[in-house]
Amino acid sequence: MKKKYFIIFIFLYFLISNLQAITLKIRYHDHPDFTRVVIESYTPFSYHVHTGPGEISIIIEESFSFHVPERKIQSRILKEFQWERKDSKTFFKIILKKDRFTLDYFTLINPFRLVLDIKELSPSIVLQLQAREFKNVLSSFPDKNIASIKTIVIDPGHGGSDRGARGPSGLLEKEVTLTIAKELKSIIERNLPFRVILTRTEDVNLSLEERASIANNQKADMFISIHANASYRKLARGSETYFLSLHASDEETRRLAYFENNSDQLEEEILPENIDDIKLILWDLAQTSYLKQSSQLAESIQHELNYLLGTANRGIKQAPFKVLSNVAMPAVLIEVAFISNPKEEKKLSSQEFQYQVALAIYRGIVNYLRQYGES
Amino acid sequence: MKKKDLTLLITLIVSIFILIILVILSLKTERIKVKKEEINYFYPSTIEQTKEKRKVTIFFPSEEDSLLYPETREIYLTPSLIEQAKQVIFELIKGPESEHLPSLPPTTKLRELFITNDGIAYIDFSKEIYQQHPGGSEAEIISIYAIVNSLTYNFPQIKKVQILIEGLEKETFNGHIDLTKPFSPRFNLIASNKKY
Repeated sequence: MKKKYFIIFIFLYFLISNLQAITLKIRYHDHPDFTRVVIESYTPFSYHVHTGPGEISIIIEESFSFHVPERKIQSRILKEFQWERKDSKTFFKIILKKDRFTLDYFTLINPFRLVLDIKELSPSIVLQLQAREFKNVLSSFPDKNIASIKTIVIDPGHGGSDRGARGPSGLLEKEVTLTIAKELKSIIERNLPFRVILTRTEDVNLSLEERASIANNQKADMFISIHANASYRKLARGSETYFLSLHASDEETRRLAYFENNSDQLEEEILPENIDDIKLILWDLAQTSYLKQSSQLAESIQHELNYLLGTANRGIKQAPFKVLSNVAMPAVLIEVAFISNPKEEKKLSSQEFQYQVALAIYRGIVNYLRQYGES
Repeated sequence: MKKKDLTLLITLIVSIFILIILVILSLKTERIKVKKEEINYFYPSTIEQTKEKRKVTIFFPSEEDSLLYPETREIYLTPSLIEQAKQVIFELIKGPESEHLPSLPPTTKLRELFITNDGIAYIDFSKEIYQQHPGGSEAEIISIYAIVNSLTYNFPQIKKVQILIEGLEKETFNGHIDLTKPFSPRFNLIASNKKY
């Protein structure tokens, strides 16, 4: 009888100790500067940590369950813990209240602990770190995506005697667009292996056709025109991103339909030396075949502008912009904010806002590449 | 001898200076004269004042959003469609009668208007339409579609509108919307009637 109890006792002991071994304990604490999350285990485990906006994912190469002290999390930055076991791996996710944060992590032994220090960011640090963050995002791209985009042409609106719109206290659109464009160029070049070309680097006159032909001649993969908006309305505010809407003139529609319907035939019959002529004919509706990508790029950029700048959401829009119509690549025109609105004019004149805008556009480009870059 | 030379030189310089000023002044006055001669626009007084009138709806922006808001006007029911269309443009240039905002610079002049058989209205504006324009995409879109929608809304014979400036095709007002092709109306820019 006693022996039987003893065996059961031994069995239970092993079971419990084993259970302990496969249960991870989670502790967390808000420090004044940061929030620390500790994952404690009786046995060491190997893991990978990934971060995304507002979340930290930890992939543990073993099957574990978790023990969290209380159900409702009371923390400045932590929102929720999630986990699931799949294919003898454990996926543990920390959902945060803030999208932007820094993460430091390290392990301690006896017992084995994975320590994650999460720091929420002040806006200025957010800006400095975003660039680094996106380098990581990009490193997870398949190589062919990077290879498929090589050249980005940025077009600072207006210039020279064409000063563009003028703010109530005298800020000129042509100056703001150039600063933002230069900023965007440097952010892209710091973080992505792309060639970035500005249509103008100084305060010079440049026709809309010249701007488009720079992009076409450079065989750019993306065209981004930067503008500041103006209206009859004094209180008009917010940013918006445009892509081309066609005039849908009968002639164009007919021609387009003709080329679409006869494309197979054309490929067979046209000799290589004639292809340039065909391209020439099609040139003035160059943008037509890129409208879908342009709309996706516009949406991606507008999303980031709304998010980062807290400007009113004016969404993506379509209009027959001259500069976009001749561009043979995904192309958008960004109206950053209303220079005609005194409040937004003040914003536009600040260096920080200009940098934020450039960063938002950059993030939009990266997100577009991540989502749609494969095709 | 030296003193004489010096006075001669000074008088020479002064006289040349005066001559230059005179030339500049005369050039300026000449220019002004040319400008005055050029003005030969079609004013509302040229429109035949018929007994019968008709109502038209024209569009203006509002401080509220970036849409176009309707206002009604009475115009002379002239036998000529062109004359009717001109009156609509005059009313647009005159500006709103309510709390709405103007859709065109008030100094803009209508130079000419004609309608082709296939329903394209060509409207020739004076240069003030872009020189006095606030610039910016939104203002350009508002101006263009206030014109295009006002004409196509009231006259089913007009299908499209081509804008000319000083008798010529112009690429854009101020660097945004393409003016080189005729515009079809965009009635989705009109604020919904529920608000009225």
